[in-house]
Amino acid sequence: MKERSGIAEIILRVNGEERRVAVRPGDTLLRVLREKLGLTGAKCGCENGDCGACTVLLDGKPVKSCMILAVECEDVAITTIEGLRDHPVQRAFAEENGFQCGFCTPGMILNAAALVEAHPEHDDMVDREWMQSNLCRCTGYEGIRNALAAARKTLRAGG
Amino acid sequence: MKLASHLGTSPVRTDAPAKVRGALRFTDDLVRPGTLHAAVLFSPLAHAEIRKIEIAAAATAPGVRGVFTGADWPEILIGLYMGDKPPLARGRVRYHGEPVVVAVADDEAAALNALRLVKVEYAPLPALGSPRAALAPGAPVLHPEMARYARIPDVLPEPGTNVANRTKIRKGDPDRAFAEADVVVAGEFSFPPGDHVAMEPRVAIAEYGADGRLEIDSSTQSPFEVRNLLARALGLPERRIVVRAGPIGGGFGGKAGIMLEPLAALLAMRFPGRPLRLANTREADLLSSPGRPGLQARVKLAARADGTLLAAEIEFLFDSGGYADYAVNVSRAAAISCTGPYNVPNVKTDSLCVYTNHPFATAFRGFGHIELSYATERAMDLLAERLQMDPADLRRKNLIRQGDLTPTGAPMDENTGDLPACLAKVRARLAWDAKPHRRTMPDGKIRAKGISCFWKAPAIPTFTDAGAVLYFADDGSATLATGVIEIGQGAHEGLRMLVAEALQTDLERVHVTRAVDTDRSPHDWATAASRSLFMAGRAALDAVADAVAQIRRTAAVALNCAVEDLDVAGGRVFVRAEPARFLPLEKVVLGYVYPNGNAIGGPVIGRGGYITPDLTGLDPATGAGKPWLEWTLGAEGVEVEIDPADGGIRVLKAACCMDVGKVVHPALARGQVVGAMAMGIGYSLSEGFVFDARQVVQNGSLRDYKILRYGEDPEYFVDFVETPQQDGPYGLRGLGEQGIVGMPGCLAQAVSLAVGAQMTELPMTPETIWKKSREAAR
Amino acid sequence: MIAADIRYLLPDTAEEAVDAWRRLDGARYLAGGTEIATAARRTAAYDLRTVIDVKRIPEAHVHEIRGDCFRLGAALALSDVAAGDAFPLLTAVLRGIADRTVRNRLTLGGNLAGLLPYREAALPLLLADATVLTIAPGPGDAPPVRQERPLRAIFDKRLVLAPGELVLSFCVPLDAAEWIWSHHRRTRTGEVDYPLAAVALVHDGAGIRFAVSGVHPYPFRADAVDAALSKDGADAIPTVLEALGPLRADARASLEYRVALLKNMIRAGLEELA
Repeated sequence: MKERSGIAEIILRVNGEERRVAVRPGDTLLRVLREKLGLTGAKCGCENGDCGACTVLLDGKPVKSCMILAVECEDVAITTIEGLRDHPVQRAFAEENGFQCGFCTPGMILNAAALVEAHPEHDDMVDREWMQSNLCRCTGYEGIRNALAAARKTLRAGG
Repeated sequence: MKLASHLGTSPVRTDAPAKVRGALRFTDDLVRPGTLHAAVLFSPLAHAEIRKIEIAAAATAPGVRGVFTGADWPEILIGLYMGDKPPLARGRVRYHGEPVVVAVADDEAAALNALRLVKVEYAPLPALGSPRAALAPGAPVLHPEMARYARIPDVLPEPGTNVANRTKIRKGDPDRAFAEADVVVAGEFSFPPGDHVAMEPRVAIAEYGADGRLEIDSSTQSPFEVRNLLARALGLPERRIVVRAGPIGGGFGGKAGIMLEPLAALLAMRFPGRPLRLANTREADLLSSPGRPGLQARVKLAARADGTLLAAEIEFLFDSGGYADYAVNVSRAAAISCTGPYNVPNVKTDSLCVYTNHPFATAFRGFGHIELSYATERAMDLLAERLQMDPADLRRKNLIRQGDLTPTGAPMDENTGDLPACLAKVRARLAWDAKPHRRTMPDGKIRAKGISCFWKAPAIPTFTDAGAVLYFADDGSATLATGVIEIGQGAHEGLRMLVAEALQTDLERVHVTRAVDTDRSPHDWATAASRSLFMAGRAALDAVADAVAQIRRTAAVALNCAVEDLDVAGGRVFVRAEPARFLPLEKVVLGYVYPNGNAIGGPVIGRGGYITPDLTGLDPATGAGKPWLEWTLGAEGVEVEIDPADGGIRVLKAACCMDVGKVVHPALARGQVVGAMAMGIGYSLSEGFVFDARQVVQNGSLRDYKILRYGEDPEYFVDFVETPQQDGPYGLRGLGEQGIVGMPGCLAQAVSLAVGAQMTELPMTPETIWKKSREAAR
Repeated sequence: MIAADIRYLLPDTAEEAVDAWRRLDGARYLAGGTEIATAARRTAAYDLRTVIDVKRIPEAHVHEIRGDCFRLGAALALSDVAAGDAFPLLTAVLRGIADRTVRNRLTLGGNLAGLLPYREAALPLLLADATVLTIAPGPGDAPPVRQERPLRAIFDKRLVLAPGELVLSFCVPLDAAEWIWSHHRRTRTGEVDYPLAAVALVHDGAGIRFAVSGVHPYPFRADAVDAALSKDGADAIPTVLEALGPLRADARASLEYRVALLKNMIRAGLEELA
């Protein structure tokens, strides 16, 4: 039985790299990414699971890193926004103005990237179900909706 | 040589790559070794005397460097327009969420753990739950020392009461007009205070250096105001304070006042040489830092039988909460624009900023105008109902036009936007002429439309300024430095386009510095009031003109021609009549070097500035004056669908058309309007604090305070009309806030039509809609 | 951030988990962690010393047909259960809980056994007469005890578990998936919120079964209500209301509104079943 207490050294697989890091078992994944690994793309928007600004992918699945302990993540592949390189969703958010202030954007994009990969075809109900996980206060969601459409189009055309 | 205009094109924002990669560093993304962390204990009560605070156990907890209360400093009262708020409560708390104790520790966990060891003993006091309650005879006076609070002259508090400011408008002879009117309608309308919910919670990081300088990084919209207020509050000369603000994660006015900086600064001064971080949790951001005001309004309108407005009698009671902050000017702004965009010859208005025991209020998108618009648009709907007139026709009949006098008695000038065109456009978007506006669908749901008109003028000091400096690099490209904060609104993008346009150069050849630093950036009042592109834009154009003059001066020597024969365009300075005689800018902007090595000119540094030229204050007795720089006029409309069985509501369509003078970047302009409309929908349908009987907030987290989510947004229609603003850069005027202003009005109209009774309160949640439907059915 | 210094354990078996709980004072089981992460941060009185992560226990991850029932592990994330779509009503109900990315962590066991009220996942499980497999510390030094019991037998507003008892899985009778069902849910405003009322109805071939949450901060099912609705349909609504007692009134909604929603939902649900 694995046990972690005090200050524990763990290895996290983040964006394809193994990162050795000392954590308190109470540290959330969000705080470890930001404060120990310098990956500040994930944001502390509420730390209560309500806003989605901290969203990262665990084994490809979007989750809220403020609600997860870092020590729970030793055996999974963690993808943060810094690990997403020139993804069609990123290009689409840029071109369709799927952001304004940019604070919700990393979480929004990771969730959107997982969405369009899981559901290459547009379905309003599915988009709504997925994207309601992330709050944006600037855009009124129009640019985000357009970005999803643009990204799917790019993906269909082969990336 | 003339390039195609940049204005009206929609290039991808230059901050897009960083933002979509999560690489843009916001204030809380700066991690500096040795940082101390502060954590705050907040008042759980809305109004109480602080009897005793026990901090001894907390102060000796591991990792803790200090635990502080309000008693640790002499009285320091801070506020933008009226200094009324101590950074930590002293003796009494005036709202749920007021900071009471702060712990400073080597790490955040230690600071938070220390707070659990603090004991505070409160003696509850009666809590004031609305402006009317606060104005009632015998209500407790929340600020007995109001008379000695420092304030600007335009704020007129009434010591001995809870009135933090009263602005009076007296225009024409309203008593006579009411007596002679064919119809008079009156209504009361209200909504509770709420929050901006910028996605980035506020944060301040302060460090007091060995050289006696205070350095502050803050998520502020107003770094220069912060420096100025801190200097006064702390008794430090301004040269010993620097405030740095990078791009911020949304503001909406909530970061325009003064926030965490004073407490962070006071704490940092206790620990010289160590950065000190004070970051809001979301709950603190909602409750403790300022939100937006609530309102209780009475509006009475007098009209002729044909719908011509004759007079308005208005009372706005702004709920500013426990402290006044920016809200004293919000209530003043609402007075200045009190009638909405209608020609009302006789006006009597009292707009009050009232202390209550709610979370305190500051600037919010729309700044008094969303509030006044809701109240006056509701009253216009009562009038339309009484006269059996189409609400759009009633509005069209009364729209303000050039030459009409605003409530403060100054005339609308030649820059008056084409509001009739805006209204017509919104009508078309909503198929307004396809009646009826209320339809029952086969599934029993009801669809209804609503329409409103709005206006907004920035409520700014008469001496509001903006500075700009234009530098050049070796390659001849230009860098613009201003004091404008990039909040997400895209102001830097717009400024880049204005400069490229003025320099007649490629957009890629112009860069705008992102970070603002009060040591290095030119002074700028604040990134607020939708005035950045106007004022900083004017300053930028001024700086371009200055730079071009320097370029021509140097080039005239080098090209051996007259200065006035030279033009700058396409990255060159050239002889107008003989374009083949030219120098590329890179050969001039850092000085011209002759083939033999001699050099002339030196670096070109364009200097620009702008100050509002002809604004006045208000006459305290009548409100007469010319306090506004420009008016943005527009119309909005919605179509909603309501389920009468449970009050469920969906906004199907939202349309906005406003006269912005000139659209610089259509995609970003649309984004501002769409975002503002969405915020207006949340404001009208779901947002606002819920209080218990003791005025303790019941929805102080994003779990419970509901802003719009994906899929709850309507189909948006956005149109612009371009009647040039003669003094605006390329004819433009402000547009960032305006899209929110008319939303509560048109939504309330549509809902009222759907349910068959006039809605008088926000938010119009399904339950309130259901209740109103039932009342109407009886 | 979670300021508490805690100990984290990751047992490989259910027995290890229960043993650890017995050894360590004040230990809590951790599955999705969505509740623990927020409670530890916001609730001053929330005591967090040791967490026992049950996600590696194989039995808590089953997701298969076994005999005449669907066996659903308590540590399955709600979105995984919904994706399996073994029981359409369960799928529909789970999609109403929290939001999608929270459901990617929040587990079936956590929703039923956690501190947060409403526990909507219980509605379909109560209606289906699901059973629940648990493991609990044995008396004294005795080995842990596994028990499979009807959910309804140990559900009273919440799962009534012995100290240290851990839910491993739920067993949903296969025929429940074939029943006609309806599900209605209303919130104060937007969908991502706690329910003001959430009603699930099924027709099991013989009669109607009814379960509700939101109108109270806990799920409710009663045989007498099922019988009345089966017999009298919408005319039994007064009986339902009587059985429920005074509904909740709070900052989210008044009692009257909850009553109205509930009546609407029962009527609409019955129509859908008819």
